[in-house]
Amino acid sequence: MVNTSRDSEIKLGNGEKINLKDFFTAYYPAFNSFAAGYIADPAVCEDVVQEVFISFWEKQKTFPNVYAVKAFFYTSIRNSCLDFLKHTIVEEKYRAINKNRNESTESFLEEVLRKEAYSEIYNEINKLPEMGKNVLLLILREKSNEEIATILNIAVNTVKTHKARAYKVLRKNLNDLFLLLFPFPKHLPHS
Amino acid sequence: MKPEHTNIHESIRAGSLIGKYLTGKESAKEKAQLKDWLNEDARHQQLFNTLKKNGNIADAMEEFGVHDKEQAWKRYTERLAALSLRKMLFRWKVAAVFFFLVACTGILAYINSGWNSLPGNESYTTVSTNNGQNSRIILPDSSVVWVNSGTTLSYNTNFAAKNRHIRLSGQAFFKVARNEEMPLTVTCNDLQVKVLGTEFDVSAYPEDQNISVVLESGSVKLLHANDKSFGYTLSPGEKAEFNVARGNLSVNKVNSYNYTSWKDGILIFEDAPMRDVIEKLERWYDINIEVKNENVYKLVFNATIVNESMGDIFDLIKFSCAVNYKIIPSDKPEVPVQVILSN
Repeated sequence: MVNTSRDSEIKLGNGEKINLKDFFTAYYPAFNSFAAGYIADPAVCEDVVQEVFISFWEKQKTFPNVYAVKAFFYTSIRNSCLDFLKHTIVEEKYRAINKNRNESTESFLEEVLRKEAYSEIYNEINKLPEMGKNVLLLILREKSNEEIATILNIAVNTVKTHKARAYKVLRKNLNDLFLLLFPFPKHLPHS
Repeated sequence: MKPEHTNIHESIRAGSLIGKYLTGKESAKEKAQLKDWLNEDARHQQLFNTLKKNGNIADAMEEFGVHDKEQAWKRYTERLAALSLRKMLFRWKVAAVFFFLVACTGILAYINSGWNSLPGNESYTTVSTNNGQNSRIILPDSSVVWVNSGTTLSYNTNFAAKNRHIRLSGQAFFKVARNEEMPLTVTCNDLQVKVLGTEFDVSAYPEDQNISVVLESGSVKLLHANDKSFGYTLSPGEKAEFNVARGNLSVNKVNSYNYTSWKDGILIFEDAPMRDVIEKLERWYDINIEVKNENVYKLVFNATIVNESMGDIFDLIKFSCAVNYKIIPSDKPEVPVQVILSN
Protein backbone atom coordinates (compact mmCIF):
# COMPACT_ATOMS: atom_id res chain seq x y z
CA MET A 1 0.00 0.00 0.00
CA VAL A 2 1.29 3.43 -0.89
CA ASN A 3 1.88 5.59 2.08
CA THR A 4 0.21 8.95 1.59
CA SER A 5 2.64 10.88 3.75
CA ARG A 6 4.76 13.60 2.19
CA ASP A 7 7.65 11.19 1.74
CA SER A 8 5.75 8.58 -0.19
CA GLU A 9 7.77 7.30 -3.11
CA ILE A 10 6.85 5.55 -6.30
CA LYS A 11 9.35 3.05 -7.60
CA LEU A 12 9.98 2.82 -11.32
CA GLY A 13 11.03 -0.20 -13.30
CA ASN A 14 14.50 1.23 -13.99
CA GLY A 15 15.23 1.56 -10.26
CA GLU A 16 14.54 5.31 -10.09
CA LYS A 17 12.12 6.69 -7.54
CA ILE A 18 9.60 9.48 -7.79
CA ASN A 19 8.75 11.41 -4.67
CA LEU A 20 5.00 11.84 -4.94
CA LYS A 21 4.91 15.30 -3.38
CA ASP A 22 7.83 16.62 -5.43
CA PHE A 23 6.32 15.26 -8.61
CA PHE A 24 2.91 16.66 -7.78
CA THR A 25 4.25 20.13 -7.01
CA ALA A 26 6.51 20.18 -10.06
CA TYR A 27 3.90 19.00 -12.56
CA TYR A 28 0.53 20.13 -11.23
CA PRO A 29 0.83 23.54 -12.98
CA ALA A 30 1.99 22.02 -16.28
CA PHE A 31 -0.78 19.40 -16.29
CA ASN A 32 -3.40 22.03 -15.50
CA SER A 33 -2.14 24.27 -18.23
CA PHE A 34 -2.20 21.26 -20.58
CA ALA A 35 -5.82 20.53 -19.63
CA ALA A 36 -6.63 24.21 -20.14
CA GLY A 37 -5.85 23.68 -23.83
CA TYR A 38 -9.01 21.59 -23.98
CA ILE A 39 -11.26 22.96 -21.27
CA ALA A 40 -11.61 26.64 -20.46
CA ASP A 41 -12.96 26.28 -16.92
CA PRO A 42 -9.92 26.07 -14.58
CA ALA A 43 -11.98 24.33 -11.88
CA VAL A 44 -12.85 21.51 -14.28
CA CYS A 45 -9.19 21.27 -15.31
CA GLU A 46 -8.19 20.89 -11.68
CA ASP A 47 -10.78 18.13 -11.23
CA VAL A 48 -9.48 16.30 -14.28
CA VAL A 49 -5.86 16.53 -13.13
CA GLN A 50 -6.79 15.44 -9.60
CA GLU A 51 -8.67 12.43 -10.98
CA VAL A 52 -5.67 11.38 -13.06
CA PHE A 53 -3.38 11.72 -10.04
CA ILE A 54 -5.81 9.53 -8.11
CA SER A 55 -5.87 6.86 -10.80
CA PHE A 56 -2.06 7.08 -11.01
CA TRP A 57 -1.91 6.21 -7.33
CA GLU A 58 -4.61 3.54 -7.62
CA LYS A 59 -2.96 1.81 -10.55
CA GLN A 60 -0.10 0.61 -8.36
CA LYS A 61 1.56 -0.66 -11.46
CA THR A 62 5.23 -0.26 -12.12
CA PHE A 63 6.00 2.25 -14.80
CA PRO A 64 9.28 1.46 -16.56
CA ASN A 65 10.61 5.04 -16.33
CA VAL A 66 9.65 8.65 -15.80
CA TYR A 67 8.76 9.10 -19.49
CA ALA A 68 6.11 6.42 -19.14
CA VAL A 69 4.71 8.17 -16.07
CA LYS A 70 4.45 11.50 -17.86
CA ALA A 71 3.05 9.85 -20.98
CA PHE A 72 0.39 8.27 -18.76
CA PHE A 73 -0.52 11.69 -17.38
CA TYR A 74 -0.66 13.53 -20.70
CA THR A 75 -2.65 10.80 -22.42
CA SER A 76 -5.06 10.31 -19.54
CA ILE A 77 -5.61 14.05 -19.17
CA ARG A 78 -6.27 14.38 -22.88
CA ASN A 79 -8.72 11.47 -22.85
CA SER A 80 -10.56 12.76 -19.78
CA CYS A 81 -10.82 16.22 -21.30
CA LEU A 82 -12.14 14.91 -24.61
CA ASP A 83 -14.54 12.70 -22.69
CA PHE A 84 -15.70 15.63 -20.65
CA LEU A 85 -16.25 17.72 -23.76
CA LYS A 86 -18.12 14.90 -25.44
CA HIS A 87 -20.49 14.53 -22.51
CA THR A 88 -21.09 18.15 -21.78
CA ILE A 89 -23.03 20.70 -23.70
CA VAL A 90 -20.38 23.31 -24.25
CA GLU A 91 -20.12 26.56 -26.06
CA GLU A 92 -19.36 26.37 -29.73
CA LYS A 93 -15.77 27.56 -29.35
CA TYR A 94 -14.76 24.74 -27.01
CA ARG A 95 -16.21 22.25 -29.38
CA ALA A 96 -14.13 23.74 -32.14
CA ILE A 97 -11.00 23.31 -30.04
CA ASN A 98 -12.00 19.78 -29.22
CA LYS A 99 -12.53 18.88 -32.83
CA ASN A 100 -9.22 20.35 -33.79
CA ARG A 101 -7.37 18.44 -31.06
CA ASN A 102 -9.17 15.26 -31.79
CA GLU A 103 -7.94 15.27 -35.33
CA SER A 104 -4.32 16.01 -34.75
CA THR A 105 -1.87 13.83 -32.91
CA GLU A 106 0.73 16.32 -34.04
CA SER A 107 -0.71 19.18 -32.02
CA PHE A 108 -1.08 16.89 -29.00
CA LEU A 109 2.60 15.99 -29.17
CA GLU A 110 3.59 19.61 -29.65
CA GLU A 111 1.55 20.61 -26.65
CA VAL A 112 3.25 17.92 -24.54
CA LEU A 113 6.63 19.26 -25.64
CA ARG A 114 5.66 22.83 -24.74
CA LYS A 115 4.43 21.89 -21.29
CA GLU A 116 7.58 19.91 -20.59
CA ALA A 117 9.82 22.78 -21.64
CA TYR A 118 7.88 25.43 -19.72
CA SER A 119 7.63 23.19 -16.70
CA GLU A 120 11.43 23.11 -16.46
CA ILE A 121 11.51 26.90 -16.69
CA TYR A 122 8.67 27.39 -14.21
CA ASN A 123 10.27 25.17 -11.59
CA GLU A 124 13.58 26.92 -12.05
CA ILE A 125 12.04 30.41 -11.75
CA ASN A 126 10.21 29.26 -8.63
CA LYS A 127 13.57 28.89 -6.89
CA LEU A 128 14.03 32.68 -7.04
CA PRO A 129 12.86 34.90 -4.18
CA GLU A 130 9.46 36.56 -4.70
CA MET A 131 10.93 39.89 -5.89
CA GLY A 132 13.36 38.15 -8.23
CA LYS A 133 10.45 36.28 -9.81
CA ASN A 134 8.49 39.51 -10.31
CA VAL A 135 11.49 41.21 -11.90
CA LEU A 136 12.05 38.29 -14.23
CA LEU A 137 8.43 38.20 -15.38
CA LEU A 138 8.61 41.92 -16.17
CA ILE A 139 11.87 41.43 -18.08
CA LEU A 140 10.05 38.83 -20.15
CA ARG A 141 7.36 41.43 -20.82
CA GLU A 142 10.17 43.57 -22.33
CA LYS A 143 10.05 46.26 -19.64
CA SER A 144 13.05 48.50 -19.09
CA ASN A 145 14.87 48.71 -15.75
CA GLU A 146 13.21 52.06 -15.02
CA GLU A 147 9.74 50.74 -15.80
CA ILE A 148 10.30 47.71 -13.60
CA ALA A 149 11.55 49.91 -10.77
CA THR A 150 8.39 52.02 -10.98
CA ILE A 151 5.99 49.04 -11.21
CA LEU A 152 7.55 47.18 -8.29
CA ASN A 153 8.36 50.34 -6.37
CA ILE A 154 12.04 49.48 -5.89
CA ALA A 155 15.34 51.21 -6.78
CA VAL A 156 16.76 50.80 -10.27
CA ASN A 157 19.92 49.33 -8.76
CA THR A 158 17.88 46.67 -6.96
CA VAL A 159 16.28 45.84 -10.30
CA LYS A 160 19.76 45.39 -11.77
CA THR A 161 20.80 43.06 -8.95
CA HIS A 162 17.71 40.92 -9.41
CA LYS A 163 18.20 40.99 -13.14
CA ALA A 164 21.71 39.59 -12.83
CA ARG A 165 20.39 36.71 -10.74
CA ALA A 166 17.45 36.17 -13.04
CA TYR A 167 19.76 35.84 -16.02
CA LYS A 168 21.45 32.96 -14.30
CA VAL A 169 18.11 31.20 -14.28
CA LEU A 170 17.01 32.06 -17.75
CA ARG A 171 19.55 31.95 -20.53
CA LYS A 172 19.50 35.28 -22.29
CA ASN A 173 22.72 35.06 -24.19
CA LEU A 174 21.24 33.87 -27.43
CA ASN A 175 24.55 33.96 -29.23
CA ASP A 176 24.93 30.62 -27.64
CA LEU A 177 21.93 29.47 -29.57
CA PHE A 178 23.76 30.37 -32.72
CA LEU A 179 26.53 28.04 -31.67
CA LEU A 180 24.06 25.32 -31.07
CA LEU A 181 22.73 25.37 -34.59
CA PHE A 182 26.03 25.96 -36.37
CA PRO A 183 28.77 24.45 -34.29
CA PHE A 184 31.72 25.40 -36.51
CA PRO A 185 32.68 29.06 -35.80
CA LYS A 186 34.68 28.59 -32.61
CA HIS A 187 35.43 32.28 -32.14
CA LEU A 188 31.86 33.13 -31.12
CA PRO A 189 31.39 33.95 -27.43
CA HIS A 190 30.24 31.05 -25.35
CA SER A 191 28.46 31.48 -22.06
CA MET B 1 5.10 5.90 -38.54
CA LYS B 2 6.19 5.26 -34.99
CA PRO B 3 3.63 4.12 -32.42
CA GLU B 4 2.17 7.03 -30.49
CA HIS B 5 3.80 6.20 -27.17
CA THR B 6 7.28 6.39 -28.71
CA ASN B 7 6.31 9.79 -30.07
CA ILE B 8 5.10 10.96 -26.68
CA HIS B 9 8.35 9.89 -25.06
CA GLU B 10 10.17 11.77 -27.81
CA SER B 11 8.11 14.94 -27.14
CA ILE B 12 8.73 14.69 -23.41
CA ARG B 13 12.44 14.22 -23.96
CA ALA B 14 12.76 17.10 -26.43
CA GLY B 15 10.63 19.39 -24.24
CA SER B 16 12.75 18.77 -21.22
CA LEU B 17 15.95 19.28 -23.24
CA ILE B 18 14.68 22.66 -24.40
CA GLY B 19 13.60 23.60 -20.87
CA LYS B 20 17.00 22.66 -19.49
CA TYR B 21 18.75 24.54 -22.23
CA LEU B 22 16.71 27.71 -21.73
CA THR B 23 17.49 27.64 -18.01
CA GLY B 24 21.16 26.91 -18.67
CA LYS B 25 21.06 23.60 -16.84
CA GLU B 26 21.90 21.32 -19.72
CA SER B 27 24.90 19.01 -19.70
CA ALA B 28 27.25 18.81 -22.67
CA LYS B 29 25.58 15.59 -23.71
CA GLU B 30 22.10 17.11 -23.48
CA LYS B 31 23.26 20.08 -25.50
CA ALA B 32 24.45 17.74 -28.24
CA GLN B 33 21.14 15.88 -28.12
CA LEU B 34 19.22 19.13 -28.45
CA LYS B 35 21.39 20.12 -31.40
CA ASP B 36 20.65 16.81 -33.10
CA TRP B 37 16.96 17.24 -32.46
CA LEU B 38 16.98 20.76 -33.93
CA ASN B 39 18.87 19.66 -37.01
CA GLU B 40 16.48 16.77 -37.54
CA ASP B 41 13.63 18.87 -38.83
CA ALA B 42 13.01 22.51 -39.77
CA ARG B 43 9.75 22.33 -37.81
CA HIS B 44 11.72 21.56 -34.67
CA GLN B 45 13.67 24.79 -35.10
CA GLN B 46 10.47 26.69 -35.67
CA LEU B 47 8.93 25.23 -32.55
CA PHE B 48 12.06 26.03 -30.58
CA ASN B 49 12.07 29.64 -31.78
CA THR B 50 8.44 30.12 -30.76
CA LEU B 51 9.04 28.52 -27.40
CA LYS B 52 11.93 30.78 -26.44
CA LYS B 53 10.09 34.03 -27.22
CA ASN B 54 9.94 36.14 -24.07
CA GLY B 55 6.25 36.86 -24.40
CA ASN B 56 5.38 33.18 -24.77
CA ILE B 57 7.46 32.24 -21.73
CA ALA B 58 5.79 35.02 -19.72
CA ASP B 59 2.31 33.83 -20.78
CA ALA B 60 3.12 30.27 -19.79
CA MET B 61 4.57 31.34 -16.44
CA GLU B 62 1.43 33.30 -15.65
CA GLU B 63 -0.80 30.39 -16.63
CA PHE B 64 1.28 27.98 -14.55
CA GLY B 65 1.08 30.28 -11.56
CA VAL B 66 -2.71 30.54 -11.23
CA HIS B 67 -3.29 27.34 -9.26
CA ASP B 68 -2.65 26.98 -5.57
CA LYS B 69 -0.36 23.94 -5.53
CA GLU B 70 -0.31 23.56 -1.76
CA GLN B 71 -4.09 23.58 -1.59
CA ALA B 72 -4.26 21.06 -4.44
CA TRP B 73 -1.73 18.78 -2.74
CA LYS B 74 -3.78 18.92 0.47
CA ARG B 75 -6.92 17.96 -1.40
CA TYR B 76 -5.08 15.13 -3.14
CA THR B 77 -3.64 13.61 0.04
CA GLU B 78 -7.00 13.83 1.77
CA ARG B 79 -8.61 11.88 -1.04
CA LEU B 80 -5.79 9.33 -1.02
CA ALA B 81 -6.21 8.81 2.72
CA ALA B 82 -9.94 8.17 2.26
CA LEU B 83 -9.18 5.75 -0.57
CA SER B 84 -6.58 3.85 1.47
CA LEU B 85 -9.07 3.36 4.25
CA ARG B 86 -11.68 2.06 1.85
CA LYS B 87 -9.20 -0.32 0.26
CA MET B 88 -8.13 -1.64 3.63
CA LEU B 89 -11.73 -2.34 4.63
CA PHE B 90 -12.35 -4.03 1.30
CA ARG B 91 -9.30 -6.27 1.67
CA TRP B 92 -10.38 -7.27 5.13
CA LYS B 93 -13.81 -8.21 3.79
CA VAL B 94 -12.33 -10.30 0.97
CA ALA B 95 -10.08 -12.14 3.40
CA ALA B 96 -13.00 -13.00 5.67
CA VAL B 97 -15.02 -14.42 2.81
CA PHE B 98 -12.07 -16.41 1.60
CA PHE B 99 -11.45 -18.13 4.93
CA PHE B 100 -15.10 -18.88 5.29
CA LEU B 101 -15.12 -20.61 1.94
CA VAL B 102 -12.09 -22.71 2.77
CA ALA B 103 -13.68 -23.97 5.96
CA CYS B 104 -16.94 -24.63 4.23
CA THR B 105 -15.54 -26.66 1.36
CA GLY B 106 -13.26 -28.51 3.73
CA ILE B 107 -16.25 -29.81 5.66
CA LEU B 108 -18.20 -30.58 2.52
CA ALA B 109 -15.34 -32.54 1.07
CA TYR B 110 -14.90 -34.44 4.30
CA ILE B 111 -18.50 -35.57 4.66
CA ASN B 112 -18.86 -36.38 1.00
CA SER B 113 -18.06 -39.99 0.16
CA GLY B 114 -17.01 -39.06 -3.37
CA TRP B 115 -13.38 -38.91 -2.30
CA ASN B 116 -11.44 -42.12 -2.33
CA SER B 117 -9.20 -41.37 0.60
CA LEU B 118 -9.74 -38.63 3.12
CA PRO B 119 -7.47 -38.77 6.13
CA GLY B 120 -8.59 -36.22 8.71
CA ASN B 121 -5.52 -34.07 8.38
CA GLU B 122 -5.71 -33.54 4.64
CA SER B 123 -6.19 -29.91 3.70
CA TYR B 124 -7.54 -28.28 0.58
CA THR B 125 -6.71 -25.37 -1.58
CA THR B 126 -9.84 -23.61 -2.70
CA VAL B 127 -10.16 -21.09 -5.48
CA SER B 128 -13.39 -19.23 -5.83
CA THR B 129 -14.59 -16.44 -8.05
CA ASN B 130 -17.53 -14.13 -7.57
CA ASN B 131 -20.01 -13.33 -10.27
CA GLY B 132 -18.59 -10.86 -12.74
CA GLN B 133 -15.03 -12.11 -12.41
CA ASN B 134 -13.04 -15.04 -13.69
CA SER B 135 -9.48 -16.11 -13.25
CA ARG B 136 -6.78 -18.44 -14.40
CA ILE B 137 -4.84 -20.67 -12.07
CA ILE B 138 -1.91 -23.00 -12.52
CA LEU B 139 -2.07 -26.24 -10.56
CA PRO B 140 0.98 -27.85 -8.91
CA ASP B 141 1.27 -30.30 -11.83
CA SER B 142 1.39 -27.28 -14.21
CA SER B 143 -2.10 -27.94 -15.53
CA VAL B 144 -3.89 -24.67 -16.23
CA VAL B 145 -7.46 -23.98 -15.17
CA TRP B 146 -9.58 -21.05 -16.29
CA VAL B 147 -12.21 -20.50 -13.62
CA ASN B 148 -15.40 -18.80 -14.77
CA SER B 149 -17.52 -16.47 -12.64
CA GLY B 150 -19.36 -17.75 -9.58
CA THR B 151 -17.21 -20.86 -9.33
CA THR B 152 -15.53 -22.77 -6.51
CA LEU B 153 -12.76 -25.20 -7.22
CA SER B 154 -10.74 -27.14 -4.66
CA TYR B 155 -7.91 -29.63 -4.67
CA ASN B 156 -5.95 -31.27 -1.88
CA THR B 157 -2.63 -29.79 -0.87
CA ASN B 158 -0.65 -32.84 -1.93
CA PHE B 159 -2.20 -32.63 -5.37
CA ALA B 160 0.02 -34.33 -7.96
CA ALA B 161 2.00 -36.18 -5.30
CA LYS B 162 -0.39 -39.13 -4.90
CA ASN B 163 -3.39 -38.28 -7.02
CA ARG B 164 -4.94 -35.47 -9.00
CA HIS B 165 -8.42 -34.86 -7.61
CA ILE B 166 -10.35 -31.67 -8.11
CA ARG B 167 -13.81 -30.72 -6.88
CA LEU B 168 -15.81 -28.25 -8.84
CA SER B 169 -18.95 -26.24 -8.41
CA GLY B 170 -19.40 -23.82 -11.26
CA GLN B 171 -17.55 -23.69 -14.55
CA ALA B 172 -13.93 -24.22 -15.38
CA PHE B 173 -11.87 -24.93 -18.44
CA PHE B 174 -8.98 -27.32 -17.85
CA LYS B 175 -5.79 -27.63 -19.76
CA VAL B 176 -4.38 -30.75 -18.18
CA ALA B 177 -0.72 -31.67 -18.16
CA ARG B 178 -0.49 -35.21 -19.45
CA ASN B 179 0.46 -37.87 -16.93
CA GLU B 180 -0.54 -41.45 -17.81
CA GLU B 181 0.47 -42.75 -14.37
CA MET B 182 -1.76 -40.36 -12.53
CA PRO B 183 -5.07 -39.48 -14.18
CA LEU B 184 -6.74 -36.23 -13.21
CA THR B 185 -10.33 -36.41 -12.02
CA VAL B 186 -12.83 -33.62 -11.65
CA THR B 187 -15.76 -34.42 -9.40
CA CYS B 188 -19.03 -32.53 -9.47
CA ASN B 189 -21.86 -34.15 -7.53
CA ASP B 190 -21.93 -37.78 -8.59
CA LEU B 191 -20.24 -37.24 -11.91
CA GLN B 192 -16.55 -37.85 -12.29
CA VAL B 193 -14.57 -36.74 -15.28
CA LYS B 194 -11.41 -38.76 -15.63
CA VAL B 195 -8.68 -37.56 -17.91
CA LEU B 196 -5.15 -38.38 -18.91
CA GLY B 197 -4.13 -35.22 -20.70
CA THR B 198 -6.50 -33.13 -22.72
CA GLU B 199 -8.36 -29.87 -22.96
CA PHE B 200 -11.97 -29.81 -21.86
CA ASP B 201 -14.60 -27.64 -20.26
CA VAL B 202 -16.84 -28.59 -17.35
CA SER B 203 -19.89 -26.58 -16.41
CA ALA B 204 -21.58 -27.63 -13.19
CA TYR B 205 -23.36 -24.71 -11.56
CA PRO B 206 -25.54 -25.84 -8.65
CA GLU B 207 -28.54 -23.99 -10.06
CA ASP B 208 -28.25 -25.78 -13.42
CA GLN B 209 -30.16 -29.00 -13.94
CA ASN B 210 -27.37 -30.44 -16.03
CA ILE B 211 -23.67 -30.81 -15.64
CA SER B 212 -22.15 -30.36 -19.03
CA VAL B 213 -18.76 -31.48 -20.24
CA VAL B 214 -17.43 -30.27 -23.56
CA LEU B 215 -14.28 -31.74 -25.02
CA GLU B 216 -11.99 -29.68 -27.19
CA SER B 217 -9.21 -32.20 -27.79
CA GLY B 218 -7.93 -35.51 -26.43
CA SER B 219 -10.34 -37.83 -24.66
CA VAL B 220 -12.03 -37.96 -21.28
CA LYS B 221 -13.97 -40.65 -19.48
CA LEU B 222 -17.17 -39.89 -17.58
CA LEU B 223 -17.84 -42.02 -14.50
CA HIS B 224 -20.48 -42.16 -11.79
CA ALA B 225 -19.38 -42.04 -8.18
CA ASN B 226 -21.76 -44.77 -7.00
CA ASP B 227 -22.68 -46.63 -10.17
CA LYS B 228 -19.81 -48.75 -11.52
CA SER B 229 -21.76 -49.70 -14.65
CA PHE B 230 -21.94 -46.06 -15.74
CA GLY B 231 -19.25 -44.96 -18.14
CA TYR B 232 -18.81 -42.99 -21.33
CA THR B 233 -15.73 -41.92 -23.25
CA LEU B 234 -16.19 -38.51 -24.79
CA SER B 235 -14.66 -37.58 -28.16
CA PRO B 236 -13.48 -34.13 -29.25
CA GLY B 237 -16.30 -31.77 -30.29
CA GLU B 238 -18.80 -33.68 -28.15
CA LYS B 239 -20.88 -32.23 -25.40
CA ALA B 240 -22.16 -34.54 -22.67
CA GLU B 241 -25.02 -33.43 -20.44
CA PHE B 242 -25.54 -35.25 -17.20
CA ASN B 243 -28.91 -34.74 -15.58
CA VAL B 244 -28.21 -34.50 -11.88
CA ALA B 245 -31.69 -35.46 -10.70
CA ARG B 246 -32.24 -38.44 -12.99
CA GLY B 247 -28.62 -39.53 -13.26
CA ASN B 248 -28.71 -40.02 -17.04
CA LEU B 249 -26.46 -38.81 -19.78
CA SER B 250 -27.07 -37.37 -23.22
CA VAL B 251 -24.35 -36.63 -25.77
CA ASN B 252 -24.39 -34.48 -28.88
CA LYS B 253 -21.97 -32.92 -31.35
CA VAL B 254 -21.32 -29.22 -30.82
CA ASN B 255 -18.99 -26.46 -31.88
CA SER B 256 -16.84 -26.75 -28.80
CA TYR B 257 -15.48 -23.21 -28.98
CA ASN B 258 -18.96 -21.81 -28.30
CA TYR B 259 -18.66 -23.34 -24.85
CA THR B 260 -15.02 -22.64 -24.10
CA SER B 261 -14.61 -19.17 -25.61
CA TRP B 262 -15.42 -17.48 -22.27
CA LYS B 263 -11.86 -18.17 -21.16
CA ASP B 264 -10.68 -15.76 -23.85
CA GLY B 265 -13.22 -13.17 -22.69
CA ILE B 266 -15.65 -14.03 -25.49
CA LEU B 267 -19.25 -15.16 -25.01
CA ILE B 268 -20.82 -16.95 -27.96
CA PHE B 269 -24.55 -17.58 -28.20
CA GLU B 270 -25.69 -19.74 -31.09
CA ASP B 271 -29.42 -20.31 -31.10
CA ALA B 272 -29.14 -20.19 -27.34
CA PRO B 273 -32.38 -20.44 -25.33
CA MET B 274 -33.05 -17.21 -23.46
CA ARG B 275 -32.96 -19.04 -20.12
CA ASP B 276 -29.31 -20.00 -20.72
CA VAL B 277 -28.50 -16.52 -22.01
CA ILE B 278 -29.94 -14.93 -18.89
CA GLU B 279 -28.06 -17.24 -16.54
CA LYS B 280 -24.78 -16.64 -18.35
CA LEU B 281 -25.22 -12.87 -18.44
CA GLU B 282 -26.11 -12.81 -14.75
CA ARG B 283 -22.84 -14.50 -13.89
CA TRP B 284 -20.76 -12.68 -16.47
CA TYR B 285 -21.79 -9.18 -15.43
CA ASP B 286 -22.80 -9.93 -11.83
CA ILE B 287 -26.34 -8.70 -12.29
CA ASN B 288 -29.87 -9.84 -11.48
CA ILE B 289 -32.15 -10.33 -14.44
CA GLU B 290 -35.85 -10.35 -13.81
CA VAL B 291 -38.20 -11.64 -16.49
CA LYS B 292 -41.59 -9.96 -16.50
CA ASN B 293 -43.13 -12.11 -19.16
CA GLU B 294 -42.76 -15.91 -19.55
CA ASN B 295 -42.79 -15.51 -23.34
CA VAL B 296 -39.26 -14.16 -23.10
CA TYR B 297 -38.05 -17.66 -22.27
CA LYS B 298 -39.29 -18.95 -25.63
CA LEU B 299 -36.81 -16.75 -27.48
CA VAL B 300 -33.41 -17.76 -28.79
CA PHE B 301 -30.45 -15.44 -29.06
CA ASN B 302 -27.50 -15.32 -31.47
CA ALA B 303 -24.48 -13.15 -30.73
CA THR B 304 -20.76 -13.11 -30.16
CA ILE B 305 -19.81 -10.82 -27.33
CA VAL B 306 -16.29 -9.49 -26.91
CA ASN B 307 -15.68 -6.88 -24.23
CA GLU B 308 -19.06 -5.29 -24.76
CA SER B 309 -20.70 -3.24 -22.06
CA MET B 310 -23.83 -4.54 -20.40
CA GLY B 311 -25.94 -1.85 -22.06
CA ASP B 312 -24.68 -2.87 -25.51
CA ILE B 313 -25.67 -6.51 -24.94
CA PHE B 314 -29.17 -5.62 -23.88
CA ASP B 315 -29.49 -3.30 -26.86
CA LEU B 316 -28.55 -6.29 -29.00
CA ILE B 317 -31.15 -8.48 -27.31
CA LYS B 318 -33.68 -5.69 -27.68
CA PHE B 319 -33.16 -5.42 -31.42
CA SER B 320 -32.71 -9.07 -32.31
CA CYS B 321 -35.41 -10.53 -30.04
CA ALA B 322 -37.80 -7.58 -29.72
CA VAL B 323 -37.46 -7.55 -25.96
CA ASN B 324 -37.59 -4.40 -23.88
CA TYR B 325 -35.18 -3.92 -21.03
CA LYS B 326 -34.68 -1.56 -18.16
CA ILE B 327 -31.47 -1.30 -16.14
CA ILE B 328 -31.88 -0.32 -12.51
CA PRO B 329 -28.49 0.79 -11.24
CA SER B 330 -27.39 0.02 -7.74
CA ASP B 331 -25.61 2.45 -5.46
CA LYS B 332 -24.48 -0.19 -2.98
CA PRO B 333 -21.71 -2.62 -3.91
CA GLU B 334 -23.45 -5.54 -2.20
CA VAL B 335 -26.67 -5.03 -4.18
CA PRO B 336 -26.33 -6.20 -7.78
CA VAL B 337 -27.58 -4.17 -10.69
CA GLN B 338 -31.09 -5.22 -11.69
CA VAL B 339 -32.24 -5.68 -15.29
CA ILE B 340 -35.90 -6.18 -16.15
CA LEU B 341 -36.85 -7.92 -19.41
CA SER B 342 -40.30 -7.81 -20.94
CA ASN B 343 -41.84 -8.14 -24.38
